[in-house]
Amino acid sequence: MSEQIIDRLEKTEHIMKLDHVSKSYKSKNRIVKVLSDISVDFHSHKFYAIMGHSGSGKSTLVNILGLIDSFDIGKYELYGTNVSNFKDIELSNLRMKNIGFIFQGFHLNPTLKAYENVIVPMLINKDINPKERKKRAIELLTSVGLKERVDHFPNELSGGEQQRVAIARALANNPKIILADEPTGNLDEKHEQEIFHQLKELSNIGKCVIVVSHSNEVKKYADRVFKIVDGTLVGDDR
Amino acid sequence: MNIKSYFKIAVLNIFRDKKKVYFILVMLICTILALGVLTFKSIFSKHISDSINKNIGFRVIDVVPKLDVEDYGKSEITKIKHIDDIYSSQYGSVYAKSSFANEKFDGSIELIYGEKSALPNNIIGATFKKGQKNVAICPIDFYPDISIYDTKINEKNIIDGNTLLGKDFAIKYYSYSFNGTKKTIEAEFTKTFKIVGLYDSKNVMNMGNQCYVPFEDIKEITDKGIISEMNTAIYAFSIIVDSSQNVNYVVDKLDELGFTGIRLKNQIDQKLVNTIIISCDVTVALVLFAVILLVSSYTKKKILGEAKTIGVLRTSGYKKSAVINLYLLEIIISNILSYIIGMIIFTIIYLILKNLVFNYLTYFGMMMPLNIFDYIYAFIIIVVITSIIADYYIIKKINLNIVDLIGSEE
Repeated sequence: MSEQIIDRLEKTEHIMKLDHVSKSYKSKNRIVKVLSDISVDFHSHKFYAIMGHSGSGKSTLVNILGLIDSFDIGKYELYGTNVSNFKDIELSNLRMKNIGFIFQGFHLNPTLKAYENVIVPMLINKDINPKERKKRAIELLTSVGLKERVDHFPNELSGGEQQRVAIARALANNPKIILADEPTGNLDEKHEQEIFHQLKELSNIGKCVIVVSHSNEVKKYADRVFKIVDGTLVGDDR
Repeated sequence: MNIKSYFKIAVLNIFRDKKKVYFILVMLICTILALGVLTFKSIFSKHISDSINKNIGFRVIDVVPKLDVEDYGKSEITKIKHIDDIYSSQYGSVYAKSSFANEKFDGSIELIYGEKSALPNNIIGATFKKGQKNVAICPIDFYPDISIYDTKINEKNIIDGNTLLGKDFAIKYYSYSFNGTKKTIEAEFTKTFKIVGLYDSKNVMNMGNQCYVPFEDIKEITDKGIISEMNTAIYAFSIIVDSSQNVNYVVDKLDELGFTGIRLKNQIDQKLVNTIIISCDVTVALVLFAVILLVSSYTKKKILGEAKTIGVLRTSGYKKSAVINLYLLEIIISNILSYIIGMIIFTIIYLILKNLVFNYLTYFGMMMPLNIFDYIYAFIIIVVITSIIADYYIIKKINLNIVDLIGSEE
């Protein structure tokens, strides 16, 4: 099933659709509703920004879209196919080929060099020739401006550089979807602009980029901005 | 993901992370500790077992003769099963100064009862022929000096028995008179022995100055040395039982027949030995338990510390089984590495201690062999058990929600 979706994903711009999705969790014997009746579509070639105050549920939304979190009711379609009840192994396969994650804390493996961090996701992708892995990792790092830093360990790189390594890693298996959760949360203003610029470039080459951010700077780059208010998604009029 | 990729990532993770190198170090110390206590236990148990099974003294029973019976009860004793030999205990051994005396040795040797039943196996050269006299079977590592009874000997002075085979040595012995208050030497005698055979004194837990000689030779020396005017003593019978396992049977039979003063020539406080063995077992068990706890704790800590990395791998599309394989391989590689290095270090330390510090113990029959099973047990603890524990924690971790593994970004 997941293979079919992957094939169809190659040919369309309409990628993800959430249909009346709600999620709540239990906290200290009370039910907290995080997302309430969310319905939204995401397309390729677009840069989406999701904003909202802390705890509003924006990361939860991105995690659901990234197939790493579940929801209580509703439907999630990935290119027209309901993936809500997919098994873990199928979800892993979908994530590998279609979704690249970027985190606020970069989460690079400190014992691996920059290019080795980028290679790690490729190791499970049979479509990438093992002999091509290193070359591809260096190309990706070059594309994010780190040609001279491929042999550096994460602790030898600045925060901005580390996040660019994380972007290259997210692109390792050439996914159609890039999900970034507060990617500039640990960066200064200059590096923030660099990262948003990189992500915008990705949407320009056909990726569906969804960025969760507190920063108003993201609005400058986003094709569409969503705000989560009281668990519901409010879109701008762009 | 193929095994080569798993291996490469695992090796990179192990050697580039200082914390993981530290983990290897801890496991290495645990390996040395485990091997140390297991080897100590093996050596100690073997020594106790050898002492009882190999030393003839633990199967020689002395018993008071029956004074009211014509042959003092000897014929009754010989009818008991499992008895190899019986002789008067005064002829068990005799001390003498020998011609081996020089600047290195004082020549002190002990001549011991050497009839067939008492002789050890694997004698090099010849044993005694029936009725043969003035022959001896001496230790391969010969040390004719009184200091043999001390705790330490000069190993460089040990005489290679092979150089003595076929050669003669002499001993001096004396007859005495007694004037009512003082015992004085009456006459000096010299007796020559030819060394016809050699035996490994360590293997039978004998001292390195003890030579076996025929019964008639001991009798001759002993009888000459007895002051006839004072000889009113009744000597015990020494009974040689065929094996240490049958000693209790013979003791019970002697008791049933009404013999008194039944005692083993080499007494052993079985209760004390059992206490020592149990204490040793408890210590070994505690140390191994501590090692397993330490290993578990470190393994748990290590896996828990990897939660974020595991989460990132899962977001990249790694299946649960792939993550388990990756981490398990890393643990197994680092544990095998710890084990191999620990094993080498332990063996070197052991050889140094054995050859430079405790070598003299081997001369007194304390065999200190390395036991392959101790290495296997240590391998099971350090590699197998640890890997099972690691597997448990990895599976526990991997079953967590990916979001929980990464940690909420909000």
